[in-house]
Amino acid sequence: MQLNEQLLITYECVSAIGTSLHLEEMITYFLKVFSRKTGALASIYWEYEPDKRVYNQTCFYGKRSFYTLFDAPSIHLPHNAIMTDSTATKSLLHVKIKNDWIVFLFQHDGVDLDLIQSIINSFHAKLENAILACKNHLELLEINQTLAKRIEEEVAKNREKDKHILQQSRLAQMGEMISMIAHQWRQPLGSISAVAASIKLKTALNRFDLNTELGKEEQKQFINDSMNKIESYIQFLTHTIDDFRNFFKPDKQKEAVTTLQLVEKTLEIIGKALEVNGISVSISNTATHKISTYANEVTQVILNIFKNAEDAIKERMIKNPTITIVLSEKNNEQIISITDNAGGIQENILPFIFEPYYSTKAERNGTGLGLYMSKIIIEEHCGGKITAQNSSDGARFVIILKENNHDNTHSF
Amino acid sequence: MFSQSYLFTQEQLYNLSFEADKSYIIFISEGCSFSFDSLKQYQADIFSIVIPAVIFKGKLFHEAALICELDTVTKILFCSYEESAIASLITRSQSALLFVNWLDPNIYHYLDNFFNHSHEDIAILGAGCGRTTLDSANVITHNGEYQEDGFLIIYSEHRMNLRAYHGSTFFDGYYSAHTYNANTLATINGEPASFFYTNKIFELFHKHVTKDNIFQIGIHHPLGMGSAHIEKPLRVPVAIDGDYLILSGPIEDESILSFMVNSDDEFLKASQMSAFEVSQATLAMKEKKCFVVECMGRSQQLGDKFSVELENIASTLSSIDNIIGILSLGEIANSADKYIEYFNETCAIGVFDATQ
Repeated sequence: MQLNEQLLITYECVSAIGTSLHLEEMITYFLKVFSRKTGALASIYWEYEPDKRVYNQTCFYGKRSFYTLFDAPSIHLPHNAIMTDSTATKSLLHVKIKNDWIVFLFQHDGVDLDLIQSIINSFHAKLENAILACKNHLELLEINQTLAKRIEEEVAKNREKDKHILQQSRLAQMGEMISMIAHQWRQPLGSISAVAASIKLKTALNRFDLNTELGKEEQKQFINDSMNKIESYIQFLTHTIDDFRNFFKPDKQKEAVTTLQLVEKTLEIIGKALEVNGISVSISNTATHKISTYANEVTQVILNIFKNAEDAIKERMIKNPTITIVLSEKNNEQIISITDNAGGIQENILPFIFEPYYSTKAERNGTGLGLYMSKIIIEEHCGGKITAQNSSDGARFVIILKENNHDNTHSF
Repeated sequence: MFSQSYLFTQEQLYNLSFEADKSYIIFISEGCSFSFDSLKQYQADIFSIVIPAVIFKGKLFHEAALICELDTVTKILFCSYEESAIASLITRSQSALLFVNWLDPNIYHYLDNFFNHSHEDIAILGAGCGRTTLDSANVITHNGEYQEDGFLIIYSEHRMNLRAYHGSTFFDGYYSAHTYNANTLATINGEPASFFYTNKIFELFHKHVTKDNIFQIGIHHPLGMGSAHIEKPLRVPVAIDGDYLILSGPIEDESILSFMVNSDDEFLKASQMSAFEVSQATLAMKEKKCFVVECMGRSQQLGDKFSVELENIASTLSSIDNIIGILSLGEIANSADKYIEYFNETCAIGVFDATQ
């Protein structure tokens, strides 16, 4: 073979190296081109598995009937890169690539094996690097696959955590609801009690002369009036329960409401409690447009802010406590600003108040989930924005809701 | 391999008869007018292939068909593209004749498949078949039905010895080629393949290549590929398709090509060498039969001297009564001593030992 011919074969074999990052595919293509160019009848690639100290056959190319002529290399084979074994009619050319081996089978008198050796020597380093690249690629793929699996596991964990948080949040809401119902019911229950006491007292003192027709009529009228009063109070209690039940029922569909309606609806629930604690509420409204949103969910957020303000006011025993609500609109956005005068939030904890389980309240009062859930409701479900900052004498929460937010939002 | 072989002229083709339960292969020269549907009426197992011409008793016939009856230890089969179970069929075979459509881009796939699954000592002689007009209709049929996407294999328990040489010599090189598909070159040295070949032929040989004469010029100036074979495997440019150059056989991507040149003397020497070597290797055979696969390009190159080539072969193999064969559009000649390759412009001669 002339030098030119040798160079041609070398070039074409080199071109066949590294055509794929998949080891088996790359080696198979290389062995195919090598066989066609050099005449090798069969070839095999043995990959060393260090953990088990064994060689595994990664690929075989060529005449399958020669497969039995290839023995797995021994780990005690010398470390010289190329060696030959000869049988009666066939020659085996062993090429060591790092810890792996490629073995080629030739007809004994068919080719100049020294020449083939020198051809292999000229691209040995490139072949070694290409195999290494394939192995590294596989390792990266495996790492990526593990990474993807780990991410999947973490996401699943987070989902579970979210469900848990939601459950906790609902339990906390139930506690708050019972507290608010207690506030709402205190006055009518007291009134019912007073009416009952009045009936009891008048009966005990024989205030009605039952010997006369007039006395009988007066007693009948008194009991009738008292019963009407009790009935009226019971109706109020029933109405309160309905209000609370509707309030905490998750919205399935959006409805068109003004921000004033949302605030007023919230005050129907918590207004009595605020009043009992002497907290005055002022509303300034310049907003006129309606928004399409999950009204109950937004009112729960507003309620949560009111509750936080109430708790802070009570805890810090603020004199002349007030909650100022400013409703405005700008650039198709409805803005609800709620400011209290309870002294504000410490600047160092302000950045963390929307994180789950973060509470500044005494353990018995706070779950640390209220503002976290508020943020989820406003930003993920309603497509809005909720922020917190300090004003001159208290905390200010600003809720921004888009007027035409029909897409990418969902209820619980 | 073949128990009987007959030559049928165009007129005789209208009176064919076949014995039921026997297998036949008909080599039909492309100059023949033949109705493949007529083969549907017979009970026999009949395969046919179209080739440029047939050789019978050492002579060339352009308008005739060579009909060969397979003997009892020979089988014939068309293998589809996906076929890989062929190994189980040919474990006892010592020799095989393999035929592919010369324009099929999957020729290497077929050769690899057959070679890798076949017996370790099997000798394979074969040809690219079809028409020089590039028309692929009915190139291979089975009982009159067109067979495509596969190869035809005739395998036998008879031993075969074979040789193949072309005689083409290196003239200019070397150029890196990129393929569009297995038998279509997209670029040579980074330039559109058809422009590069055309320009280079003009530069080297002062010949104008056109769409009409590309095949004729390609036969005289084939492209050579690098290989450890004694001779470079050749590819003949047969057609121009825009920037692409369609070749007479498959080629690996990023092959290095060279321009080859043919001469009558070298061609004649090559065929004599094929015949001589195969005659020496088969001296011990008692009953010999010969099948010759001569590239159509050789007959074009040698012109009138092609009959001399056939006569030389016949005289070198004088102990064989009837030398039959075909004019092919590609040749396969593998003695299981090297990995299989597809050749062009060779004179491939196979001699069977018919005594076994």
